[in-house]
Amino acid sequence: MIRVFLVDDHPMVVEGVKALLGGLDTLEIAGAAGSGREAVERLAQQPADVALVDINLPDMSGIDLCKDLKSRFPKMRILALSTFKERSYITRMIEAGASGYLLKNASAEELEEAVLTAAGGRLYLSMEAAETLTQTSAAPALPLLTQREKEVLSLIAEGLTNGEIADKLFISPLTVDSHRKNLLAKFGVRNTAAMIKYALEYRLL
Amino acid sequence: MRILLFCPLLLLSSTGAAQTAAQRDSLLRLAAAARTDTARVWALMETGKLYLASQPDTALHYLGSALELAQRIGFSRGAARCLINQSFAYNEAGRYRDAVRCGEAALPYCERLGMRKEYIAACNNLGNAWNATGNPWAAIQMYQKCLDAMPGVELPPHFPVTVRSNIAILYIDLGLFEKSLAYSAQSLAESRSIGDLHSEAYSLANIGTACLGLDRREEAYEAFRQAAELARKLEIGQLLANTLGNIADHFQHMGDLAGAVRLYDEALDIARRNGIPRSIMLSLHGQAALAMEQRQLGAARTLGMQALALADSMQDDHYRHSICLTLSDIALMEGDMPAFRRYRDEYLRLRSQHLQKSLVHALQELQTRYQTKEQEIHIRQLEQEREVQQLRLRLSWGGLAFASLLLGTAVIGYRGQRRRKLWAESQLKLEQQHVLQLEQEKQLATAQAMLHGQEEERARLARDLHDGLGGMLSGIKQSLAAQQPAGALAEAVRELDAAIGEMRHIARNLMPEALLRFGLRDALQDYCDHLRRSTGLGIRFQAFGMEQRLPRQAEVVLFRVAQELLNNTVRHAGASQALVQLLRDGDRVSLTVEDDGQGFDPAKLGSQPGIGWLNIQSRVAYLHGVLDLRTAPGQGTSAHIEIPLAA
Repeated sequence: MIRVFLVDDHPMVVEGVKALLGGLDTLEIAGAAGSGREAVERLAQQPADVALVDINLPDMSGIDLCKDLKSRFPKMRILALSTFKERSYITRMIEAGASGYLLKNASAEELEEAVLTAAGGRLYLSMEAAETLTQTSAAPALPLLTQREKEVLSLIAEGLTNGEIADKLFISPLTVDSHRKNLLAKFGVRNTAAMIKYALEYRLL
Repeated sequence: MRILLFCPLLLLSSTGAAQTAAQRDSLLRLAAAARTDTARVWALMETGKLYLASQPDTALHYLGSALELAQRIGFSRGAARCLINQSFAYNEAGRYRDAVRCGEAALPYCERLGMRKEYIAACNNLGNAWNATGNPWAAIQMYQKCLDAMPGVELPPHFPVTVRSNIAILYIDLGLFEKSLAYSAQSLAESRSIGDLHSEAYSLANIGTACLGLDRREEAYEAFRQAAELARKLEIGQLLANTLGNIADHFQHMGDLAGAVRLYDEALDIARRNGIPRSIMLSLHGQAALAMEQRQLGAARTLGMQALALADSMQDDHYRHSICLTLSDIALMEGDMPAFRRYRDEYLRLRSQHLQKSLVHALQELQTRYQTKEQEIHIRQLEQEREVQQLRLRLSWGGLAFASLLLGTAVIGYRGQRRRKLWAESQLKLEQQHVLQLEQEKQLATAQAMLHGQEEERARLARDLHDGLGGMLSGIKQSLAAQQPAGALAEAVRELDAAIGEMRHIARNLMPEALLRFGLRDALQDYCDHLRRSTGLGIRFQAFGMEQRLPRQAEVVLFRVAQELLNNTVRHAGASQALVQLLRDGDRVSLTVEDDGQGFDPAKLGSQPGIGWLNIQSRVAYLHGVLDLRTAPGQGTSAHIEIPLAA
């Protein structure tokens, strides 16, 4: 029997998950806590194999609790249980040492599968969490240029000064200078010459 | 325009050019031979200081090398002193922005290292720079910091007097005569106790001007009389000419026209002998007004036109407008209607120009204030601002009389019936302007408070929804699901799921948790993910230099702007691809949102359907940012926003 511990400040959620998992013979509910501090205290007396941790807790964030629990009980697996399905939460929980991420609308089957997967030392992501992470929106390898940046870049390459570029594009020289600086920052180069070299190399010009 | 007493604290006593060169050479030899880097910093700095007064550019060269070295070797005290001297040199060279930059850079060093004397010098340089750039409030604040830091610090005895005099003059400019009087009274007492006659004379003149502003004529006369006596003894031509002019005005006011004529003649004579065009102009104008009162119209016209020619050559619009008024009055008395109309039109044009300038200035100042101060102290400031506003208005409509006082001499004594009517009219106009200003002031404050309050409220509401209602609904759903429902109940559970999803959606729109918790970059990334999922729009997101969090206000406002821009793209652009870029470089942050949609005519911005362009613009303005919008029908839309981060 895999011992499962619940950390959630909503009694109804705790009761609901207990009810969902109660009928299964692969795992048992070892205990529950309504706050991070309470969880640490109880788990110290009553170890568990897998902890289901809510991201929003009254005294600390689930992310911080996850880190804390992993350092105190390195063998225990942690699953995030959240209503959020945003990338920022998912990646942070995983970085904090969680073995998986699932949403609160999970079914009994999914919960069971998640707990078993995590207990087996693998990573479990709910469908939606996986979808979020696999989408191709992580920053592209090569920086994309905005329209203005493209224009400014090609005019810089033509050897025009900030003032001349400003006249051409009907923007202020200060704005041109910002774009120039932005381009330097994006390409991670120090000067205009290096910028143009970079742009030519990666066919941005 | 005003009598300004700049006091360089760190200025060395002036030395002859040959001597300077000799000192420079020996100092530079010292620098080259110095065994330690700190000694080299000192030597370079001292070399720079030799040129502070005579050749600020040369001074800046040496001070720059000294600063560079000091910073490279982590010699903070040296760096602070270099910065202060640079600030002084920039003031001398008329490069006030640079002076401010160096002065401000020096302050934290001085504070951290407890360098009180240097702190005072830095504040004084900053005050002088702000003063020269027409920022009276900032200047006063800096001078006040000087004064506050003075107790227990050994300083040249005349220094506090000078600082107080500077504040007194600034308050006169702002029309806050009571305040000015308080400072000049103190500087007078101090200058007397240290026996500094120069400062005493200037303090008396300031007292006289402030008293005139308060319409305490007898006191003003007494102060001017004493000031004139000292100025005569010390042979300070400009001060003497100006105070005599003021006394002449007093005589004219008291009906002693002969006395007034005599004094104006003397003032003019002194001004001419000392070659002070402004004082000549003021005296001529005074004589013109006097001649007019005595109905010597031909003489009055000649004098007035001489004064006007001088004002023209000095490009002093402020003065030209009151001289034009005098000339139009003279023309009217002479029955020369074309001349009357000509001068009158010119007067009105200059006057409205002047009004507009002061209005713009007042608004600019208001904005700067909002930029630099916290919400909590805004109310107090607004009250202060209103006070200034009122006084400034009083100053403007009284421009005719007061403006001349500010310049050191009162000029016009003509008090005709017609003038009173004109005054009443202009007063009415200004009253309306005043109402408008207060309105704008109020709007700014309200907008700020609203944006702030709105976001706070949204954050609270979102959290309540998510944690409270959301948690409860999830719990109910799980309890029900545990019963393994079938049929209608199973349907209800599915609906409950949808309801939870909808609630989450609302909460996220109110205030994304990720924004408060992880910052703008993550929140915007999440938002793009969400839009991509729910709309199928190909959104690419990239961020550069966003490792550090931004100030919360900037994060929230930029997020809202991005949200609004992306909503436009999703709802109205019919785009298939969009790019969202967030970039930070030092203290600038830029946000770009562009799409390949249908675009629109930017001239029809206001009438774009359901689009919060106004909303976007006001939020960008709230952060003192700039919006660069590029779009045209069929060309897609690209919005680039850049905001400065307050240092």
